[in-house]
Amino acid sequence: MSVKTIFSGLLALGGVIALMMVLMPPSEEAPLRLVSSTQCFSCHADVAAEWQESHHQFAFENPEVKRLSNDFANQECLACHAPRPVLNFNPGERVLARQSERGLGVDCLSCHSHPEGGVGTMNPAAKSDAPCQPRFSERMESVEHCASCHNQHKTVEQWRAAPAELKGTGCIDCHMPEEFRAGGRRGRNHAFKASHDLAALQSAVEMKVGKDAEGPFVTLENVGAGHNFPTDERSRAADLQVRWQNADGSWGAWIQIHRFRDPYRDETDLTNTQLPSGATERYALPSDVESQGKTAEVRLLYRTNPFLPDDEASELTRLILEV
Amino acid sequence: MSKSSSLVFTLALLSGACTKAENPEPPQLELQWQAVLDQQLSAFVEEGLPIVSDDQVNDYLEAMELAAEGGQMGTRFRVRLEEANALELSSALLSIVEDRETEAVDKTRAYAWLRARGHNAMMPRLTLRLKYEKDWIANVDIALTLLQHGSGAGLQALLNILGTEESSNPDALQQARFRTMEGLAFLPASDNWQPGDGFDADWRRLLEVRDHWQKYRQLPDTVLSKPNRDQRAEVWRTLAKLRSQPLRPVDDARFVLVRLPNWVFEPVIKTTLDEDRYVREHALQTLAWIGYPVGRWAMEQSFDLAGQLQSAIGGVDSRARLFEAMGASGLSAMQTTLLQWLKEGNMEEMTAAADALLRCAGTESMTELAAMLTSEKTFSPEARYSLALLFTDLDAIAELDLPQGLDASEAQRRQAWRMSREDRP
Repeated sequence: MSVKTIFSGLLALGGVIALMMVLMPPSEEAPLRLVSSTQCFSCHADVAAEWQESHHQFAFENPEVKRLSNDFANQECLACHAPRPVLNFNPGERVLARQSERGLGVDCLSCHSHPEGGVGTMNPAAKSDAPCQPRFSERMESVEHCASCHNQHKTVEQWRAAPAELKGTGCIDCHMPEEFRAGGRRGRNHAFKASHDLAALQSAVEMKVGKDAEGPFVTLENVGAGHNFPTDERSRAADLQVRWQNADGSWGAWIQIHRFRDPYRDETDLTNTQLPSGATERYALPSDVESQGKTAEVRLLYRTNPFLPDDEASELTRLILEV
Repeated sequence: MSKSSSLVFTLALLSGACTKAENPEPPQLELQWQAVLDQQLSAFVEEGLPIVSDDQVNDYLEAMELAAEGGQMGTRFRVRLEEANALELSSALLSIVEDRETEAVDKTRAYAWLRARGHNAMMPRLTLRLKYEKDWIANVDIALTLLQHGSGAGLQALLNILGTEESSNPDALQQARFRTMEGLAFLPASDNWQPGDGFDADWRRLLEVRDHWQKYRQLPDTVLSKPNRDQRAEVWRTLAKLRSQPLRPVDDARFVLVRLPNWVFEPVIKTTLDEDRYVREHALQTLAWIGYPVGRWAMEQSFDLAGQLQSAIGGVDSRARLFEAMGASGLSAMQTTLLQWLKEGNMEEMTAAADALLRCAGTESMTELAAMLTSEKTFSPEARYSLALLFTDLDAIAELDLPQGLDASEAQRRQAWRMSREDRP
């Protein structure tokens, strides 16, 4: 088959498609006046199911958030935990809190409701005659779309300072990977895997232990996060800890080596100790005077709030070192 | 309205008889925003606390240290501090206490000098220290200095100190309690209480003054003087922080504004017409946080709060927040507007209007609320619950179950609003 034939065939096919688009009747479904995200669930059940598992869905009802915000008596927290539609604000500017259906947290309309009506989408080929009247919004792919909330605790600022090889093109590269859904529909995952997902956390850092002239040490490298580890101001914390084996084979108590955390605004006596994207830090292993142990076990714990006890923290990795 | 009709109405609200029908488009109104902040900041540019250089701050630090040493030299520096320009001195001393690196001893001296010589324009910045200052004694000094200038913002701190029995630093706590007890002599006198009546009487007076402050944002048995131009300049600078994108300055400004005496209400109300949507939003939020004291002040001053707030109703972006401020005032004069938007608004506006009605509506609204039954409307769970609580309160029918989809904390917030209805102005 010659190139000319293929070209003619493609041209004809294009013509047929164009003709179909002109002649096909528009969708019989009437445009929907969107007042609640629950209206989205019937047509987008698969996306809704992903979102139901996400912490966006949980943003308002999360008991940890409620406790830290004094049940949202600190009303500034409300803005991002039950926001009005982000597209109603200038790119990257702060969002403000909504009044209704706060229990839905960061819901469909928070990110998609378009100020000119209908919904915004990252899909340039979306069917504009669908009931929700999707319209392409380039801004939704940009970090600015997420920055309205996620820069309140400096994550986007950290991303801007990250090395090119780790930052990708934006937040969605890592947190909304591509998804192929039933019927071959391509989209982005709406589970927003991040600090509540062990695999996502483990992919962020690499821990190594060793011994040299200066003594036993541990290093932690931020190999996978396009922002600090852990990101966020105030809430998230990661701790490096070591314990030594006693002569009888039992283990001593865990000893704190280092805490990675950015303190909150009013914790004026603390400084930011997070691990920037791409950075490596080395710490000497403090010895246990009592055990005089020769075998060390080092672990990295991740806490969704700094006051979480060890047994409720996520253990990201654990290594043994013979000294 | 009969009990049976009210029950039907309430059940209809809760059962979602108001289905997801099309609500009408909200009415379009003309916008009339003004450059409120810009105008006021330029009008007061030469007034208020001056910006002081690091060198000036260091000079004052040194002067305080030498003045504390006593003797001839100490007297000379004491006189220098006493004769310093009060605005410049206040600005320098505030810079000292605001600097987290300042030594504790220097802070203590600075607070003492602020109490002795501070200009009342320091009030907003000194009030903010209540948020950040962790030292017991410093908090007593702040509270008493504010009291001296007609603000009761620190009274709760005094109550907390007197009510605290254990501390990791018992000596500091004991010293703070002692200083507080001495300071109670500065509470405004009344027919029933004079300084020196004894601790029990002092304690009762402290509670009385605190309660009055919370209700009116004014100390009892005092005539509140009008703010001078330097004070007003500092209030406008505080309001300008509402423009900030980072939240900390906004938090700080709101913290201060809700704790200033009631002369701050007028500039805050004026700011609700600013051209910046964030400024409008936060000014309205500030009014809502203050709540009933704004309504009481408006009534006492015959200030047309309803009319003034309604000038901002053209702003789609901040309309829901406007309704919140209207309702939080507790004034029944707000009902007509709120009922109209309950009928004609979008989901957000209807929710805000329902919440606001819960906080301010009286029995006059009963007929209108009942008429809602005849129209098919979509109410959010929050609005449904607010209306049900309001209806219950007005008609005294039995308590109601929570609507589906309503978060427990949101329900509690509304129950608290219902409980506070009896304190409406």
